[in-house]
Amino acid sequence: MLNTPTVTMFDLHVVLPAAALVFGAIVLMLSEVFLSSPNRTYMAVIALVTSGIAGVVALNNAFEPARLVLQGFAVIDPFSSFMTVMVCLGTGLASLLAAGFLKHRNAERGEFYALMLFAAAGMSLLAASNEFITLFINLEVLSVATYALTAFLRRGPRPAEAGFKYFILGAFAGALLLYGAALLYGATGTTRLSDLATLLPGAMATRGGLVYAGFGLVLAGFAFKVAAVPFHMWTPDVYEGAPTPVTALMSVGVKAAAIVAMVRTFLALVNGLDPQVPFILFSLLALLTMVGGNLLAMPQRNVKRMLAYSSIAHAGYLLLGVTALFVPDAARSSDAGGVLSATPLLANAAVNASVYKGILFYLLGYTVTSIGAFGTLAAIERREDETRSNTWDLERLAGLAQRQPGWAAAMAAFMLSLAGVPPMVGFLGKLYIFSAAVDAGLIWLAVVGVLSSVAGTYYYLRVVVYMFMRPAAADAPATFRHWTTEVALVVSAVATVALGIVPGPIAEWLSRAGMVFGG
Amino acid sequence: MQKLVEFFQTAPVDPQQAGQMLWLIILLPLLGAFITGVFGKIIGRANTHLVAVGAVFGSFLLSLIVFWTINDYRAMATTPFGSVNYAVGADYGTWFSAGAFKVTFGLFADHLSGSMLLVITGVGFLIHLYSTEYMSHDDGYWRFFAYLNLFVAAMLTLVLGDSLPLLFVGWEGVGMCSYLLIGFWYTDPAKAFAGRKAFITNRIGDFGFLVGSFLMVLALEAATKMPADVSSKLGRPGLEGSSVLARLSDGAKQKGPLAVPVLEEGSKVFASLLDDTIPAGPLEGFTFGGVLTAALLLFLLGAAGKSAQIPLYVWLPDAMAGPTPVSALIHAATMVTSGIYLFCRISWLAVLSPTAMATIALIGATTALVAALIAFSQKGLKKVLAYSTVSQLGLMFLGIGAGAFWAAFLHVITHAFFKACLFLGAGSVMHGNGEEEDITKLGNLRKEMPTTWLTFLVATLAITGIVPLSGFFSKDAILHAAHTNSIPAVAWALKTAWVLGVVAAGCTAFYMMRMYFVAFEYPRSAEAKTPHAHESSWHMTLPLVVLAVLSVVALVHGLPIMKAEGRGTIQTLMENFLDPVFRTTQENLAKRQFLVIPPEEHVPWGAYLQAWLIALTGGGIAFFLYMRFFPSRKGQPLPGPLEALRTFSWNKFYVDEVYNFVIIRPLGVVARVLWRVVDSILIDGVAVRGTAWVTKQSGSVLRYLQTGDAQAYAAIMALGLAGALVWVLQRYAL
Repeated sequence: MLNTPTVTMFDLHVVLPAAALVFGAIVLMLSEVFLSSPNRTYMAVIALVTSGIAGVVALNNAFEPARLVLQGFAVIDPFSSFMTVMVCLGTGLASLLAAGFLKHRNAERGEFYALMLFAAAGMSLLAASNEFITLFINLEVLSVATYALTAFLRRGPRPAEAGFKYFILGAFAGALLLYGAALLYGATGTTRLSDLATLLPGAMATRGGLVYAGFGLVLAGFAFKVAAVPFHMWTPDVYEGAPTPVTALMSVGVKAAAIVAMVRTFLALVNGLDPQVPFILFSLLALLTMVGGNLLAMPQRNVKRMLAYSSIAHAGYLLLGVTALFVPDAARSSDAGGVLSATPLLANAAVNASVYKGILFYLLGYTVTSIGAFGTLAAIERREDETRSNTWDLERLAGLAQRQPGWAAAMAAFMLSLAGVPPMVGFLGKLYIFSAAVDAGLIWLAVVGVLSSVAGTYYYLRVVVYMFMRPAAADAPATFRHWTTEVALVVSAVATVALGIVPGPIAEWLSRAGMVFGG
Repeated sequence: MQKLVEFFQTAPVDPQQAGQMLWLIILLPLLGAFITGVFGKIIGRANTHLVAVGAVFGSFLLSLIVFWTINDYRAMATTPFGSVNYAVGADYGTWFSAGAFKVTFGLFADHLSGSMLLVITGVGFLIHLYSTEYMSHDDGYWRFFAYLNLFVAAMLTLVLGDSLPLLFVGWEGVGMCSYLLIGFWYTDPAKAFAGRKAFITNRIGDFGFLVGSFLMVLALEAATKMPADVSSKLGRPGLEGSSVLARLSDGAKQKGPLAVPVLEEGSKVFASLLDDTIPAGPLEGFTFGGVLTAALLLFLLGAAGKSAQIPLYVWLPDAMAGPTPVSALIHAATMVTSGIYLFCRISWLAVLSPTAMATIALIGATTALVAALIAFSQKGLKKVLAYSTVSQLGLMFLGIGAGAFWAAFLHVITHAFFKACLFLGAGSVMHGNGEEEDITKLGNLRKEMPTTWLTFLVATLAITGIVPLSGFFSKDAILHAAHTNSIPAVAWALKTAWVLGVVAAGCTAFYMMRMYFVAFEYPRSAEAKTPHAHESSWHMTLPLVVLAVLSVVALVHGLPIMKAEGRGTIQTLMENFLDPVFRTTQENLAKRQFLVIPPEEHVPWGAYLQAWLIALTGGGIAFFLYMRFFPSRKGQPLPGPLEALRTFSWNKFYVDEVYNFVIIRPLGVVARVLWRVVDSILIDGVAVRGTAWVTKQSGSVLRYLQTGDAQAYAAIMALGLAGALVWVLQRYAL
């Protein structure tokens, strides 16, 4: 007799956005075969429409109650659904950017968009995974797609180098994660997160070392994906080597999915452990990432690399929010002292709710801002420069305010938002995260975060200074304009400002109860 | 007649709806500012004119409807303490809140703000129309109209806001627009400097306004926390003493402590508590009376900044650097009267402090006289008008201090008409004479510019107070009140102020007639830029005519034709009209008797005669001196002492120089020391650059780890992981 699992339509809601994305990808690949029109902007439109549909479906899911689906292999909860909405938003905008970018380089191919959509499908499912094998497979789905996208433009050594580095290091980190999962399986006999949560306290008594080792390995695997210091080394090289629209997608989508999966996994894994361990590891990661990212970004003259380091710093702020979830109860006072200590001001449930809201809002803000920032870079970079080292030098932005006042204004908005200046959305995101951290008692860590973000203002504003206060170089080439790029930039810029002024219903949606299943 | 009254008392729209649409009045000019400011250059001159003028005209129409509505006996604005008759309003929810403190976004139009609405949008419309011609040769037209529309929006916010913070938004907004418009021709450093001077002087006043508001918040909070044994004093007809404080506290929670109705209710409470000491809190040990006096004096500082009173009047004469329509709208008709509006708005508080009332009266009267004396010798057409504005504003403050709020406000309105007319007339003269504004270089304008001449003459007669023009009634009402009312605690103050005011009124007649004779009646000057002046087009003369007519017909407000309800005495139309606004003021006055206002039994013929004689004397002396005396002695120098006096007045009594020496220079020295030592060396050198250097160096060092070598990356990851695992497992093992 066949052992068929009982799966209802109700369970399938969770895969609908991913299914839509995959379907779109297949359509694109087929269109590559059957349509040979020289103008391939329609492909970007298909990708845009697909991610739009998936986004709407995901948004619909976001208002369903949180529950286990597919026999506990996945969950459907607003946290992952909202994340999927943001991934779809990011994919849509990135494909618009890609249209102009690829056309300029004569590299418009259906598989490019298809790979993007596959990656997005992987992200969507990764966020909903509730079991280690599922989680690993989805992680690989998104990773393999991004490896391929990184090396998509095969001109010069850099893309290949970046793709290969990403692949090697990604495989290494994937192996760590898998190894950790195996150890945890060894300790408990399950790979399902919800079962782990109940079995871990028992396993701790007999096989504690195994659990701790597994915990550490899984954390390392996730730390690689979110690019936390010291697992961040790949980021600048890969971000720089990848086609700029792909970098944009990586900086927002991969990071968002990894953070959400990380929160879900560790909410289950901390059960039964000494609460100091996750707390100290996460605060250390957050501390190193915030400080390291900002310090490393500072001496960069290469704007794309600077944005890569900046994305590390932003991962640090997100990790600060994650740390707030793992603050030990006040009763068991901290033994680390100094920056890595906390005395919670609010009850855990209240803190957690504000952390989820903070993380999601931050991700939303970072999505529109980062896409916009990389998009502006993509718009001004020249094909002829691809193999040179000064392609993204600050000098290339000099005088942009005279040459392209609209782009310069948009870029200024993105930079201010990344720096966290009101009224841009980046300010509100930081505000939510930092205030949640303070409520959780992470006062000193939050102070470090604010100080490091102040240091960050330096390199963000330097871009603005170059655009508005330096004259354009005499040989500055004409910029290549494409309507899709302009649409993407306008949408991102408007969202960056508007969400900062009127967070409105979105912030309210994100602060509903029951965001994370079991959280 | 009865039918007519009924018609005007039955509004065409539901008062409730009229309250809800108040925001539209502000929105229209704001939208106009946006369109002209952003697209003005693209859509061209004519479209910009259409948008800017249309926006203000639309506002004017809406204001008319609102004004009609608030004359309706059904009009009723709700406040946390019941409803207010003859007013409409709407509360659009919380604007911002911090802890228990909150500010709601509410608009409110009663007879006071309703009248202001008509003045702002009506005169504003005329001046916009005038500007279309006046600015016809300026390339910055779109900037000009954007600022002008923005100003109207800000001024409307000022008068419509139902809380001090919202009023302050408008207050700052008009200040900013004034700054922008004074420095409109910013390429001329002197003009840009004048803008800056206005802005900085106003900031000093704004500081007073803010601190005064904070004091009011603290005082209200202290009042609600008074021990229960004061409640025996707080009872009012129909209200138990014990529930008064709770009611006040609830209202402050609902609308925020700085909302006008809450402050009004608070003033009734303060009226009973003036001598009580505050037992706890930040104001511990002070009496409510003392705190109130301090707050009112701070508000006076704010009002002195905006309305150009001693000691902060110095910016207004320099503000004439802006285009003439700006001088007419902002620096004569509307913005500079906001100080008077503020005190009318919080009159119920003002009457609780005899010290504050006496100070206001004295400051106003002194300003009126000093400015008038400076105006004696000024040669610039706009300079004379500027000092005359300062002087007239001083008279309005005298009215406030004397407790004749309605008279001060009536003077605001009549002054808006005739002073706008004078300024626009001056602009028309300059426009037609090659931008010449020195009155000695004009002459014979009566023949050359007949329309401008006639309207200018009417407005001049109005400001000098010749019967039966409107200025006569408003000015006479102020002086009459200063004469008959008294503040028993400081009886000498009002008497002194009255004498100063009467002299100032005489001086007004003198310098205004002097200017008129020299500019219009003298033969054409040999130094004139153009041999003949040309009359301006209808865009400019139509507003002149309308304003001249208005400065005549506004006299009806000053006619003592109404019967005061229940008091069996006569009232002027304006006093009667503003009665609902000052009801609480009357109650507080009746309760504390700080100011005694004798009832008016008969039409004050004696006072009228007196005022008329003053005006005629001043004008007569001017006629004698400038039409007979000086022309006959052409070429002969003035006698020594007189010449010295003239120089003294011409140099504006050296007030600017004194300020420069006493305040600006020492401040500059301190600032330079702070800059060179504290800022350049300590902050910039050590704190900022030092930190930046350390940070940047550590970034550069970290960078060396980034070798680009994948194996090294993997090794660092592995090391990080190994470190974490060793720490965790060692911790577990122990």
